[in-house]
Amino acid sequence: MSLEQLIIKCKKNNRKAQGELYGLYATKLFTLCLKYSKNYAESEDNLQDAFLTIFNKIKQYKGNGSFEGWMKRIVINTALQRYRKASVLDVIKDDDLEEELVEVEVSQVSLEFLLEIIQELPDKYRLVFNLYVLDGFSHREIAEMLNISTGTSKSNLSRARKILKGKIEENQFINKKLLENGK
Amino acid sequence: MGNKKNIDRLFQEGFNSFEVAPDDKVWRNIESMLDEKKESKKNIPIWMRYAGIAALLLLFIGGVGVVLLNGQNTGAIVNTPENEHRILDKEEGNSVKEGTHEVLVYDKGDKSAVIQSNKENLLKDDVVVRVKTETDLLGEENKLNDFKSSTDEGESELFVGNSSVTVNVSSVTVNSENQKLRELLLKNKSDLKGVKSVTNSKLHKSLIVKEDAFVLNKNITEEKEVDQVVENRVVHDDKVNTKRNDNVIVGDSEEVVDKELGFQKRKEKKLLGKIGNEDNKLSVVLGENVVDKNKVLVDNQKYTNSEKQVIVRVDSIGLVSGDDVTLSAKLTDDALKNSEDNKEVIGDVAGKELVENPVEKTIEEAIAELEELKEEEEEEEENVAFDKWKISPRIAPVFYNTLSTGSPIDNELSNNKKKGQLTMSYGLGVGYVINNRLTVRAGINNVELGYDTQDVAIYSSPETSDSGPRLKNINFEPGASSLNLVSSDGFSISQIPSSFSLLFDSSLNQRLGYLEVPLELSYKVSDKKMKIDLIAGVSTFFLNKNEIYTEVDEKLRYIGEANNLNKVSYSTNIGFGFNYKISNAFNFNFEPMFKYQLNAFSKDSGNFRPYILGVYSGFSFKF
Repeated sequence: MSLEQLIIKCKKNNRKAQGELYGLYATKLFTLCLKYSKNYAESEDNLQDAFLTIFNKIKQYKGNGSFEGWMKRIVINTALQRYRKASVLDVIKDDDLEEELVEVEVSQVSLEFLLEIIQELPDKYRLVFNLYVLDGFSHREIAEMLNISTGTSKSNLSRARKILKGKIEENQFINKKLLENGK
Repeated sequence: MGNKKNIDRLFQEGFNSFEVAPDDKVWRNIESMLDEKKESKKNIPIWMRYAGIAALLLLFIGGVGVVLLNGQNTGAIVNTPENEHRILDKEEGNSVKEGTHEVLVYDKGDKSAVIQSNKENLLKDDVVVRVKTETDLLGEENKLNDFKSSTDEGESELFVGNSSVTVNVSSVTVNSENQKLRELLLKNKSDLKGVKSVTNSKLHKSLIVKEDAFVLNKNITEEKEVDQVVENRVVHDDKVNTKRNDNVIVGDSEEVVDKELGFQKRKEKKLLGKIGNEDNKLSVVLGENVVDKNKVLVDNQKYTNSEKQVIVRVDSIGLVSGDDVTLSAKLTDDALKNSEDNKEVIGDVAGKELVENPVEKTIEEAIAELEELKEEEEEEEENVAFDKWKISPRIAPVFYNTLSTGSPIDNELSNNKKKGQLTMSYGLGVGYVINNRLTVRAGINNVELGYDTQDVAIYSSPETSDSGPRLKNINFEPGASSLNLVSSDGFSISQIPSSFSLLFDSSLNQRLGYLEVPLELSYKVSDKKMKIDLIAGVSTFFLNKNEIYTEVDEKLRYIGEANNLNKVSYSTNIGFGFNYKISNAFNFNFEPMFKYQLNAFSKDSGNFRPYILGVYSGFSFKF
């Protein structure tokens, strides 16, 4: 069954088609959820909510543009809404840090570790980091989406980077020690 | 170690190939929630919401009605001794104490009596009947002082069933003293609204309050005479009295008498009752305790050969004084009816002793009749006497929606779901009553309207505000210049310049405010206690608010105003009016109205055909 046919069936609320669609995209979208969420459980919640939205709104998808892109937007929006409701974003101070290059040494860093430290970031930093670095939004767009200023977006991004860098370096240091001890 | 890398790239490259599958339970949850949703996705129809509002209002009306009706029955004031007694001052002559309102009826014969009655007592279930009789005062020898001292004598109370009427009968000096007394009474016009003398029979007298058309007509003429009497302060001789009306009326002024005449026509209340007095030859003074206004009382007395009755007509003066319905009691001379009898009576009065007479009707019956009459009279009143103007402050929940799809904002949104908002309208209406059925109404209302266009996707195009497809009928404010809105309906990624900066579940909230000037005609279709009107007309709307907001997660953000709204527009209105009468001057209104807007939008309204549903409620005051 082609994607188009699947979508048509989903529009008719065909449960089997919905299941198939889920099967096709769940992994990709769940990965997206993981990056935007604090933890695994919250990712599952987001995925669930996002798919419910997708099935409810699928009639509005008229076939223009990428269906995957359309779904991704819904997932991100779902994730953001969680924090908008919690209004964790409002309290951020706007201290316009300059964007600076943050570099880390490349060594053995596992994806699991990267995901872990992203999820450990405070919400406001995690969202901005994800939106800007991983999903390509501009600060201006982020500001609109999160209802913050672009300055706040920039400073949050900068702090997120520093925190991540610190954790990576800490991890590398530990690994190094372990290796040394292992000799 | 020496290989440094931008941390952004580290993550970007890392996550490129990163994928994690979700647990199966996520799908199971989604499935079960999809099932639930199917069942629960029933919206409450709009009419049910309105029915709810209507039911609440009806309850309120009912509550008010019950309270008011009870109030009428229980609010009566029982005569206190203060009210009952008149004080006649020795030196200054007779004066009526303030707060008492009596009519004196003089007996040509030996005795006179004061009857003081209070309409409210009459209407009350539990009314005391007191008959004060005075047997000592005879003929010309009676002194005013005596009158005073004697008023308390011979008081008796009659209880008739549950109902009783307070009637004080005292003797009053007569004959030559009459003149003095009247003059004295005239001095105290402010207290004494009416004086009436009636010739009296010697022995027994029944007092009947009765409805009689003859009496009505006659009274009017009589009262005209009375005017003269008042002006000239002519004192009626007993003979004159007996011959013609047997009465003298002393009014406050001509005006009062005129009013009386006017109200007599419309409001005639008759009480049929008899009070038997043992052995009294009486003059009757009939008086009223009236809360605010007292009226001149015209009393006529009727004697028939056989029955020897006094007919008393009781008038209500409710029209003038509003709720504190005041009552005048009248002794009506039914001379017209029974002229022969009257002549005989005249003879009788001269000295004939009347034989005791069986009571024809009990006071109880009389009261029942009186109450009946009162109701009739009120209805009559509505027909005959209406006030021309009424003013009615009102408030209404109004619901704004469109009869068709289409969007006044942009064609892009024409197929999006619109959701009307419930807002408020308030204002003041003025009505001019043309006749019993027709009323012209005008007024001014402030009205706020709003609706949501749902399923709008918002994204920002940071670089150029003109690049994207902007909604053409919105003038964006500077702060929102980077915003673009598209229907998530006809979603197209090609329209969106930069990826992803999109908010899905938002809606567009258009808010309008108007000063509304309605001009309507209402036609009364039912004229019961609850009046029902059909209302039709037009309204002129003057725009005073024009705002468009985006709504994301219930947060509103002002983005600009519509550029296609007419400053002045019109609507056609139709509806029902329910008027619940609380008092003569005071109504409760409840008016569901449908208003169809004709030209709210100047151009490109995209087949948006807005209407307003409002349930206007308020009070109206007639004047």
